Amino acid sequence: MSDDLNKSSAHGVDSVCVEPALEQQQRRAFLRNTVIAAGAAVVAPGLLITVAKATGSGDVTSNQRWGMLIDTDKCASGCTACVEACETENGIDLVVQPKRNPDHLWEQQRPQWIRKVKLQDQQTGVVTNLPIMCQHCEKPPCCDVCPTGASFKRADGIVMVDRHICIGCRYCMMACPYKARSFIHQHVAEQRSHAPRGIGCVESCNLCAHRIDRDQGGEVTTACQDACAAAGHHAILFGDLKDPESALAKALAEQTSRQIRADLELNTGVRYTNI
Amino acid sequence: MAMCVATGLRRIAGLLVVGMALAALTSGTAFAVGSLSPGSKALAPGSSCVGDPNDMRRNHMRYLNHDRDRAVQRGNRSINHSLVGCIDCHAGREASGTPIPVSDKGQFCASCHTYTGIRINCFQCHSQVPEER
Amino acid sequence: MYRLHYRELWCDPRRYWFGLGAMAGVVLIGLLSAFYMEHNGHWVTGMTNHVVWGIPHVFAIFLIVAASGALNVASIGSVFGGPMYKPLGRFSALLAIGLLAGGLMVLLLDLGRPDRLIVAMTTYNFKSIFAWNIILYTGFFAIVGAYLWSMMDRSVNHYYKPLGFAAFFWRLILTTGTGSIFGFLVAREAYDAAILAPMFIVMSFAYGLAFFIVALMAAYWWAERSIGDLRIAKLKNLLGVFIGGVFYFVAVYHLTNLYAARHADLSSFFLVSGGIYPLLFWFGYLILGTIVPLFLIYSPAFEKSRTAVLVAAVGTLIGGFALIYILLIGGQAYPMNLFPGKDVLESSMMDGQIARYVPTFAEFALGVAGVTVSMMMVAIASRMLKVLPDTLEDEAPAKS
Repeated sequence: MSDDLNKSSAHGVDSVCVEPALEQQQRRAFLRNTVIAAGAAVVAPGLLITVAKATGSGDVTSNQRWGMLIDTDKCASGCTACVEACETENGIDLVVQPKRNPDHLWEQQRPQWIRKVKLQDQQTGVVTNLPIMCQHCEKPPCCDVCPTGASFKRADGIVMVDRHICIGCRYCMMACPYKARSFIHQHVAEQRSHAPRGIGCVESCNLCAHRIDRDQGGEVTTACQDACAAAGHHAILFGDLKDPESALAKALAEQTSRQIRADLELNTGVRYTNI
Repeated sequence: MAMCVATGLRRIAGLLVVGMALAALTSGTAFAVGSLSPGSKALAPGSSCVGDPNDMRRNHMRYLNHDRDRAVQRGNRSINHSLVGCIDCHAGREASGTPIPVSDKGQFCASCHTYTGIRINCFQCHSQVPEER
Repeated sequence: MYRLHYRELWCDPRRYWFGLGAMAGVVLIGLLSAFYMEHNGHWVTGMTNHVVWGIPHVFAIFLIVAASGALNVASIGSVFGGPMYKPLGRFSALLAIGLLAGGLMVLLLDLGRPDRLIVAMTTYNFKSIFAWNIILYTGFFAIVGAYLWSMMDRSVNHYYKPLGFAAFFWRLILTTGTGSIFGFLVAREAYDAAILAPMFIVMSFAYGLAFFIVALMAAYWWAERSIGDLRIAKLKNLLGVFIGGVFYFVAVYHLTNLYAARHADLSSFFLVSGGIYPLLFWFGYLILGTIVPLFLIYSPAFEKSRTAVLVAAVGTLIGGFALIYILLIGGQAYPMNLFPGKDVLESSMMDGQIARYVPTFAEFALGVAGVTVSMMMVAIASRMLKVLPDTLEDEAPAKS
């Protein structure tokens, strides 16, 4: 162990990607596992998938695709439980209005990851309530236009911004068909540990990626889903689109759902019923 | 121009001093304890850093940059060097138990960074105190 | 033919330094404004999450588009072999470089994170037209710089033709790239039109030439040199053709929108109901930027009037600015239709509503600084380099 550390510090000056000792060990273990898994795959093809999924602590993989189903019939008028929960969970409530900024401007400049929208059909007059957030497209326009690649899609389908390389050009906001993105217009003094946020970068809903990544087994939920359930509505269902056993996949198989702006063929990860 | 030269000189001076400090450290003095912030978990008996302190002092930015890309872009949280982890352990506390931001004057990050004259970029976006709520 | 003699642009030192000082003042105000915006964050601007690109971007796009157009005069001289244009080639290339630099400065200083310029230069997403543009702009500087050199230095003059061709094609690609910044935004109705890329090319012809005429006349007035009537007439007739070309594209853009029921609302927003945007369209673009210049250019009454040419060129520039403003800001202010057939009763993100944008002084000052930087660069370079002929009289001056 200490030998490895000495080595890495000796080479540390000229190489940026220093491999810590732990990672080397993990890599060895991974190689070993791969060999075993490859062997197993010949015998039992189903086993490999199970192995890949079990490594919850490694890189996320495209064996999963996170998504949502929103039942607009269950979404209540005037209820903003999901919005409030999102703001607390992701520290959006810690972004304060600058003193000299007038209210009407602040209303258009404050970050919003999720919003409630009330619609009325022009012909029938039927009223629909629903939340809109980043739709986590399979082919996200925001990622196509981003000059630095800061806007990216994770292997597990979550579209997010790597704010370490975001230059704040806002081209992604121009490209997003859902107005799902917000630019941080001011200095932010306080953040939550798992939700960094700073001036001059763009951000949007990341499906509570910090919850997914810290998954200790059991079912992962998003803050908005929890809040919606706690309010007794159960309009939001989050889960793995690719896992046929997930509640989400089953619900999607049972009923017709639709994408907002399906005409753009973005194959969104967030689907709606009863619009 | 004059400012550049001054900064350069300060950096060289800083490097010299850090070098001497490192030399002192390797000879086994108690200097390491002196740089930790009062009230931080790092001072608790039996606690140790995720890496060799000498190495961390010199290369922590590389480790952090490397692991942050894994964590953000690949969702891999089985990382050894997380900024949240650093802050959790190294944030000092008032006598009342309230954590003090790590880049406040004289605190863990600031003490060295002020000395070497290197601006910290992390805290424009990242929280400087351990999560309490 | 007489021998051309290029000379540095000397003028009365007091006039030169006063002019330069005034421009430096404007630039300083712009830079202070940029610092103010960066220091506080973008909340001190009128830009919001709905109108994410504001006045600075209008200036930047305007300058970048004009930059590639300003090179046209040189291209006509070398690629198309127009003898009347050839002596203007050096100044044309210089102006192109200056305008592009000014535009890029504005674009850069408006970033949320201008301190990360190095990231923008080193981390590329090659799917992004924006990233391609960074390469196109850098290449433009290099090629036009070399082109200018080949015009000025006899020892590399044999590269003049190929470089002229390279510069010409590069500027076409560059303007297509700039136009495509919008063309790729399928989500927004105003931008989702294939006609935008060729429209930007014709716009660049018109605004680049208008800038060129204004700058050339100003330079010759400054240095008390003379320009021949025939040369002015050639330039102004060409400007007239380009203004007409832009009008054609604008007309087609709106007519096709009106034809498709889905887009008709958009054009009525731009032309009738949209508040500031119709106002800018009819008065800014159509009257001041198209009808007045065309009248001044083609009316026999103003045939010999230098002032008329100048006013026509300035009018074209104002009209072009208005047109880009309408397209850029109006295109964002116009709501995206997420739910066809439904009215939005409530939304905190202004779904279904027209977004408001009121630019602040700081934003405007930054944009103006961009234009001024361009002019300053050209003024300084013309004084130091031999880019402008002694005289631009049509016939050989009498030997004295």
